[in-house]
Amino acid sequence: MKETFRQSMAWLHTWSGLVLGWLLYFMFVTGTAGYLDTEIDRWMQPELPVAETSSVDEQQAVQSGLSRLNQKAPDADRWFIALPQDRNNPYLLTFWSGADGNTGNNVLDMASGEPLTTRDSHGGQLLYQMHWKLHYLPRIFTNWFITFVTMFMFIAIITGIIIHKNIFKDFFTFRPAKGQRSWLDAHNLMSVLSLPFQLMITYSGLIFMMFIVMPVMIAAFYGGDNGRDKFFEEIFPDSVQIEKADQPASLTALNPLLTTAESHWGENAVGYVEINHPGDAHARVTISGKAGQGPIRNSPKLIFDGVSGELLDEIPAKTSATRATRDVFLGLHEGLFAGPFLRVLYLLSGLMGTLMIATGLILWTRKRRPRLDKKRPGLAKGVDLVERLNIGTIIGLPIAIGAYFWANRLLPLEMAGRAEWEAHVMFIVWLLMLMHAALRPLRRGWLEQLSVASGVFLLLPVVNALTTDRHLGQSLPAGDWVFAGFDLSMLVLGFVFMAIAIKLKNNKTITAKNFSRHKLA
Amino acid sequence: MVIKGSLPILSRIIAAIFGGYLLTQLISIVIVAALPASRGESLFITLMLSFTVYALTILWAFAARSVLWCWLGLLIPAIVLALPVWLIIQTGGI
Repeated sequence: MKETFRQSMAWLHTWSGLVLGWLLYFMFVTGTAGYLDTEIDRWMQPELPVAETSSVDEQQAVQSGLSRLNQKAPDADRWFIALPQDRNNPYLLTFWSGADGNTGNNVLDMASGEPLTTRDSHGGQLLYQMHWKLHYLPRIFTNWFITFVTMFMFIAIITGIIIHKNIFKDFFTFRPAKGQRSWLDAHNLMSVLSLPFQLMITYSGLIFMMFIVMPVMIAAFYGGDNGRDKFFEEIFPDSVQIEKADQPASLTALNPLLTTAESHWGENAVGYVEINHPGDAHARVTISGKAGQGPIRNSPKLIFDGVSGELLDEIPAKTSATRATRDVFLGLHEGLFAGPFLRVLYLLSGLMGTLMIATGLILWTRKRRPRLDKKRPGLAKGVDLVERLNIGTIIGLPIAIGAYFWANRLLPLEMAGRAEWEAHVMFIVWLLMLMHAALRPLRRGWLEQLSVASGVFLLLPVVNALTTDRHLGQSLPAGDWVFAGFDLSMLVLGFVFMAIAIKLKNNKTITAKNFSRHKLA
Repeated sequence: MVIKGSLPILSRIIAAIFGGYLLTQLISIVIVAALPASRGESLFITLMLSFTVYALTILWAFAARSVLWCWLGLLIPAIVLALPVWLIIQTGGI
């Protein structure tokens, strides 16, 4: 290309942003929802009591977990107890896995130690996991594909920075109602305001996948059959597991171990108790501190012999500077450590990233509409395709997620495969929205989907009130901010979509006739 | 018409995605060997850096003033690094 550096970078920015833009939008929407995954979990399982994490009797909680595990899975190979800690770990959880691959888990009531029953749902955790696992696709594909998509994001950000003429000026530029220029200003504003976050979130996303997608350089230094295993044993020494002895031996009492943990870390610092090979001579008990104490995504660990109770090893949260660097990257990406104020910033940044992508996708169509003419039929088809994908994704995907929540309230509680069907509903609705966008005239497509989105979110608290008793009339007086916050957020979303629909409808300069040729819009 | 016009672009895309990836591995292996830390630590650090290296090779592929330069700019460093990388792998690391 006989172009300047800037021109080629502008070309690269446009195409790296456009080609996978709708998938990047999906990742940003599910990723942003993921910052509230445990709150969404709780809204989607209204049978669970309000979480109590401030006054936890560690020893009693562990004993409850232990007796449950003994009852349910005495022959399991691994037991895991998660104590109620904070918004990320609101309940007492038990998990077990057997050598045969069977697993099971329970949420336990703190007071009685009895399992709590809820409707079958994958909750907010599923939305969050779709962020990197997508859905319906094998992991071996999605691991590579998601990293590929993230590289497109990385290139889009870098080239966006390179082609920028005046980053500082863009903080203060927004020219509304000027059509294409306004969309450019909005795109720049969203991107520039949240740029440090977008760089961090994209690069840390790549680092999450680094062991998987750079196997050549690993194999170069750790080759052979077990080379990779040896590499991981070397850099993650605390993950090395001891083999089962196949000799029965009773598990040591856990309370003294908890006391030891308290003497190391202070009161109420225990987050998790993991028991490998319970009932075996080679049993090991690992007590971990609470997660999310800081950006380092690691907690300190104490490893005990599971039969004698002797303290074998202590592993601090921060080991080498290298590992800590990676842990900080991952910790910043997940933002689990964030208190309420910082979490609002995370959410706003995630939203700005989502809008950055949406405005970019819309800008692409707006710039090309005035250039449409009969000599370039390919361009007209391209702009049409992009515009319809825009409608069906930018508005259609939020509608689909709203439908996920509607399904959670409306699907019969005793239905088999209920949790999977909540997700099926989401994707079926998304497909319907894409089909609607393919068939309707463009302007009506936007207006109709905006109206549907508005209705889906405004009515959700009503659906909640009709199907459970944890509606705003109950949650607001009770100060239950998980439920009240969710319902109120749905109302806000509904009003936002309504406002956009009204604005579009009232814009007299854009009519159905000239929508596809509108020069200014 | 469309095919003819897009061959140079397709060429650069292939160069960027696959050529860039391979060159990134070669550059990374040399960096790992050059770092003073232990084998495992150096590899760990370079894994984190590798995405920046990859991004730079991709930018080169599209910024190069011709398709020929695009490929030469990836192939020449790859050839230059081939021997050192082979030696590094043979001697098992640092």
